[in-house]
Amino acid sequence: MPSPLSAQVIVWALLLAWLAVCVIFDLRSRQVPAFLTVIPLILAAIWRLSQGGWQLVVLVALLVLISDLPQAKWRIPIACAVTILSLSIAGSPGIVYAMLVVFAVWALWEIGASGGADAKIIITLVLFFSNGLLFIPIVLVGGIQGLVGLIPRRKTIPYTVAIALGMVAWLWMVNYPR
Amino acid sequence: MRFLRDRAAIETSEVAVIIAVVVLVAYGAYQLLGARIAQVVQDVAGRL
Repeated sequence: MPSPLSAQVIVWALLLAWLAVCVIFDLRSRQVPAFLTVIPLILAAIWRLSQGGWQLVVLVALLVLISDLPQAKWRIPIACAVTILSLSIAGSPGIVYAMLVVFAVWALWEIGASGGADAKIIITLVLFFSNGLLFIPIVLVGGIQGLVGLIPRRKTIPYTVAIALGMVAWLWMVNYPR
Repeated sequence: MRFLRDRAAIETSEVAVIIAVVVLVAYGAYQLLGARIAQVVQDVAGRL
């Protein structure tokens, strides 16, 4: 039976390998196949349920359902209300941050500011780690990537690169704090 | 399931920069005012 440390390293290696595959698809076609984002999202939700973070899983499930509401103008207000209600049953500050990030990422997708694959990948990571703070290095790397993209007047950027690099930076910061 | 079906993995450069700036400012504000915000929230919760 592997020790907890080696099991953790194996899980991180699998996560990074998955992100690398997503980056390759993104760089080639600016799309990531649904199975590469939906299956990990479901697995992360199951993992979070097994670890006791059902509130976060319920919020993600509700947001997925809200995105199918026929009246587009009501989606964000309803999602806002659902998120506020979810915050009241969050249970811990970590879950609160995670819920806020999940809502922000979903809302960015809903208004068309972010791709669905990017949103699902970030929500998967937040579900898996139950930590919204990993969003910070991701958006910072994304900001740098965006600035670099603006110089040659490139309209769009492959955001999975920022997600993967931000994830590596976050894992580094968590394991080697100053 | 519109959200689950969406395969797009693009983001506009401007949006990526704006999101980074907003998150940076929000994080900075939280670091500066976090303790006071928590106190205010506790006061409100106490009164309720």
